[in-house]
Amino acid sequence: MNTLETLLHDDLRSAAGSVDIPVSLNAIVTERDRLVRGDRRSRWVRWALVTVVALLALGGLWWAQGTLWRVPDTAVPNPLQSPAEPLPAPTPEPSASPTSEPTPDTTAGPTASGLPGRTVGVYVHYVAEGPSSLNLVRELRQVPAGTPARGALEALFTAPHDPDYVTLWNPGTRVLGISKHDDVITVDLSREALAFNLGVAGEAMMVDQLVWTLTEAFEATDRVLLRVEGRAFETGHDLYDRPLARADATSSPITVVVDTPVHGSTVASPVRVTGLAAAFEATILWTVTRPDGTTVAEGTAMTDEGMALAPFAFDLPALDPGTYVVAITVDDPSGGVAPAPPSDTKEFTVR
Amino acid sequence: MLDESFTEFVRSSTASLTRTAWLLTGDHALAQDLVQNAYAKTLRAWDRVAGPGALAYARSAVVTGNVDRWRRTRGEVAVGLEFERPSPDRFEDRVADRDRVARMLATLTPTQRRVVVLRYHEDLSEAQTAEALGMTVGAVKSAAHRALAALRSHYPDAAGPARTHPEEGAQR
Repeated sequence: MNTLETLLHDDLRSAAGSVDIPVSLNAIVTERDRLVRGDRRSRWVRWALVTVVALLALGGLWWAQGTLWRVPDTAVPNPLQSPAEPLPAPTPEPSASPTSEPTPDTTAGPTASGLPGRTVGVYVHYVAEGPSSLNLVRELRQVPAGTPARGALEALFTAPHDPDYVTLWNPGTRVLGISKHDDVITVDLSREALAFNLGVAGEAMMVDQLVWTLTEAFEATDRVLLRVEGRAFETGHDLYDRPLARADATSSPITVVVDTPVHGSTVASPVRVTGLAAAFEATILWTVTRPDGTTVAEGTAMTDEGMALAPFAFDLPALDPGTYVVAITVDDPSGGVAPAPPSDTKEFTVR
Repeated sequence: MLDESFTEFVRSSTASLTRTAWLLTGDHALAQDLVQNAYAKTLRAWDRVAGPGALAYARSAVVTGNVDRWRRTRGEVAVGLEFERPSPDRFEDRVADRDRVARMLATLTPTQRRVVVLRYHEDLSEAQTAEALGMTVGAVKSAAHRALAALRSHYPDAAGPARTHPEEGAQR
């Protein structure tokens, strides 16, 4: 009978049985109200946390998307060029005048009326990354003859053919309008144009891409007023609220660009190399190598004018049938002290 | 307006819950706070818990509230030093009795103490105790066994072993 448990049970009952502790309903209700307020507060804090997390996630998505957009997608085919269409400017004419800059057809102007489906070649400007700086480059693209300026801009937002080139513009950008009054070309772009993260140098190069492409499609001396959905273009470093001209740059954004031979083209020997270069004392250096890197030939050539952007044209020595890479760079006046100047390379096949 | 069924519930359960709370704390004021807080939690949930389950809910609230208090004060509550106003009759006996029990319970760990109070004062089964404390039945058995072993020295006259299962030692 007197087990430990029984004794304990009796002891607890006996000791607690004489305890008389009153409780107050008022105190209970007051305490309940305090608890409910605490619930509301913690619920509010929970919602605030959820909101903050959701906003951060959205921001992250926006940022990730913006980053992905800037990756040049060379897998995207050029919508302006049908597969049946050959690469533009396949073979340079050996008889072309070495002093004339190869320019697109002058009907590239906005007033040119082309039949539907007809195309015209326009130089569209892209960017190549050099060892120490960005180099504005250009590529001949076929665009609808009726709307060459719009076509050139739309080509500007797509990937270039040369794998060394990229566009800094968001591929999702749309052209909302292009107009010209006197010498001012006004272009209005969709808000997708604002999705970039390039740094000061990249932003300037991005604007150069557009200014040089549009002034190529109209007149080289025109000025370009860039708008995004009707408002001045703003990069975070600069406000572009006034018309921009090619001449605004203190130095040419193009250091060197090879127009022909076109990357991946098949040409006859002798191969004529043409392009533009801003070279000290007008000297450019050229090298021809096989794809394995062995040098076949090298030499120098002259542009039309030193210290300024000027065309060049010269013939390579006779080459056996096969695939080659030609590299052009400008003379380095510092003798190697300054960072290496940009170069441009093209791979081509001699038939 | 306060629900009639809630005031009735408070009236019918106060004695049981305040005694439990006193056994858990050994202190009049703490026990009162504990029970009022438990009733407040029960009132907040009254729509859900009204009915037969209300007492179990309130008792759980007393026990877990006590856990909170122990955690907050990081240790045992001082017991037996001061007691509530005694009723005039059998004054000395009562005080001595409560003092002894409170001191005895104070030697247990918080978990052992809660198990002992629910098992031997509230007469809950092991399963009910486990549910009220949010423990497994095995943990309740183990805590009760250790508690009884620790309390054995207070009951030199007790018969029957508490060496194995407390349940087996409870043969009458």
